[in-house]
Amino acid sequence: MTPSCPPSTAEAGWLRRRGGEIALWLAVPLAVALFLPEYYLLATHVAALGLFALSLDLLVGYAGLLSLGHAMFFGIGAYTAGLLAVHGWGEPISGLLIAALVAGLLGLITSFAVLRVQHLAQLMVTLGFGLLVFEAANRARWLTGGDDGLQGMVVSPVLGMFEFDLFGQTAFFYTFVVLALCFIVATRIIDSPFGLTLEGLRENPKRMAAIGTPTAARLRQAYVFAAIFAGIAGALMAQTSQFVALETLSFGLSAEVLIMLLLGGAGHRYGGLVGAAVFVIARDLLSDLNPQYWQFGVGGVMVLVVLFAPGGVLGILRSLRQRLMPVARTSTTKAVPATPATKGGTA
Amino acid sequence: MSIALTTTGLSKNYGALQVTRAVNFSLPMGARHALIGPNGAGKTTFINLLTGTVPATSGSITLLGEDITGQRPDQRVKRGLARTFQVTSLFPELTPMQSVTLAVCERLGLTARWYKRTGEHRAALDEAAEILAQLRLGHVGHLLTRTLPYGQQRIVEVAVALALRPRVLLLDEPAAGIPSGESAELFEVIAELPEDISLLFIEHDMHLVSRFASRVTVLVAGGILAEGTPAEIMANPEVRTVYLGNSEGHA
Repeated sequence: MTPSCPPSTAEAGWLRRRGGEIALWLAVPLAVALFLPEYYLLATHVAALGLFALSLDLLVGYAGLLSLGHAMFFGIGAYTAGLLAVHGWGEPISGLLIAALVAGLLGLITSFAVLRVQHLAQLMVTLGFGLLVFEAANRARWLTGGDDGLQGMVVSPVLGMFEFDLFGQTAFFYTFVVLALCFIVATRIIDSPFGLTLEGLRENPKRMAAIGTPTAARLRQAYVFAAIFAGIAGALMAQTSQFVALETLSFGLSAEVLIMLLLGGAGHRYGGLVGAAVFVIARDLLSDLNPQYWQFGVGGVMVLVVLFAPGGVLGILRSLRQRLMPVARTSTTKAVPATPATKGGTA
Repeated sequence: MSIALTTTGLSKNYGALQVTRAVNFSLPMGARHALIGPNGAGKTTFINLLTGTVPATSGSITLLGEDITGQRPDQRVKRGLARTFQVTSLFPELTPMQSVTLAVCERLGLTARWYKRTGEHRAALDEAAEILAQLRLGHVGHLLTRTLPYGQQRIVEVAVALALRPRVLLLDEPAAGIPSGESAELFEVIAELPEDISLLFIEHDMHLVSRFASRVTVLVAGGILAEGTPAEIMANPEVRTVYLGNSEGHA
């Protein structure tokens, strides 16, 4: 009863599904380079924060966990890359990998406490860890620079060829390529049996235990993945700005990344990226209008989104699509074909 | 006849309240065994004790010759014990196809794998599709579970449990909440399950019990009141007294 598509058909299907997406990923950096070179810095911020929001989405949108301390991993990644660069290890790619490792390790250690509890208690534990790490970095002034931030980073050219320039061109392309690679890995995670397991855990952890899933182990795995991606995002931010502010570890940033995710739409692969773009651009525009009270506008948008579009920007697009094509009542998860007999591949 | 599942002196206390009282129970291989009793008799607690979601106060549980009393629920599943829930417990935002695939992947040990798409695990997908077709759910496999009629959701419950290829399947009121016409249909599906699966199901409808069970255990106030064939149980005066509701302190 199973359909096996000939490889050529499967490849054609893959290209049809992914073709537009790949074109978009190529078009965005090209458009920035050709038409908006003065916005390299802003676009770099969007890319790094987009990766950060994507990492939170693995926890919040897919696994159904809660966190108000996710900046801890972003910050630890930033400080790791920063300290390496200050102390003579300026090679950026190995810096990213070491930052990912350190953030992942912190994720593994904290996961044991975070996953012991649920709901409000989980929020409090993540918040508590975030505050602990923030204060530790603040106190360790000799190492981190405290509230003056970490200065004196010397980052080597990417691949020994592309030096970080004043216009931010290298920084942007470097960040964008790393984002794209991480996005491919995140997509693979989401589409895998592990990703489906995370959705199952979000939907019904009791049932997951009843089908034999070691729920704590799977959630721990997700938590470590999220920490790794957040650490890479923080390291990117540090390497491209050659400075690490104490705020990279702050509760404010943990709250902002949650806002970004909700704005874009949690549980969508692109939710974090869209949310980060909307947030950073809105902040830029609103602070141009009024440098002191830009948060008033962001707060207003947030309240409106939560009240009237709980699925965020991508949720609005999805409901529009469903209104236009009412048949599309199937899950958004395309990793498992609706029925193998009717669809041969995956999205 | 070899035994699939036994309990010896299985008890559960909540403080001074004893909800399961030294139950000695045996489920032979391939059995179709019903567990009946009035509300509050401790039937679901008994299932929860068997699956490990509620820890036993004393006594032991043996599954296929292995003592599983101290094992976690997921470890018991891996040893062949699966269940469905009295109140539907599914994945509302997943499709039946995804839900069953998830259970198949878990059984095959694939759920920690993140580097290969689910769609590439063809054997798992094929098996999930086969189970859905077997339970007459093939045509709704692509719809979100929350959009299905309740009767079909109950069958998805069974499909998810079946995907684990259990040796012992515990069905907690599989027909609860669905119209009587549809419950017969559900039991037809259950009756067609492979014979090597030992079934223990909780059911209130004695017509369904007598039609589909070969043996019946009556649980009252946490203890076994009677055990026998459906005909023997229906003729048992003590059971009739409990079900007529004029027993003292049992309901």
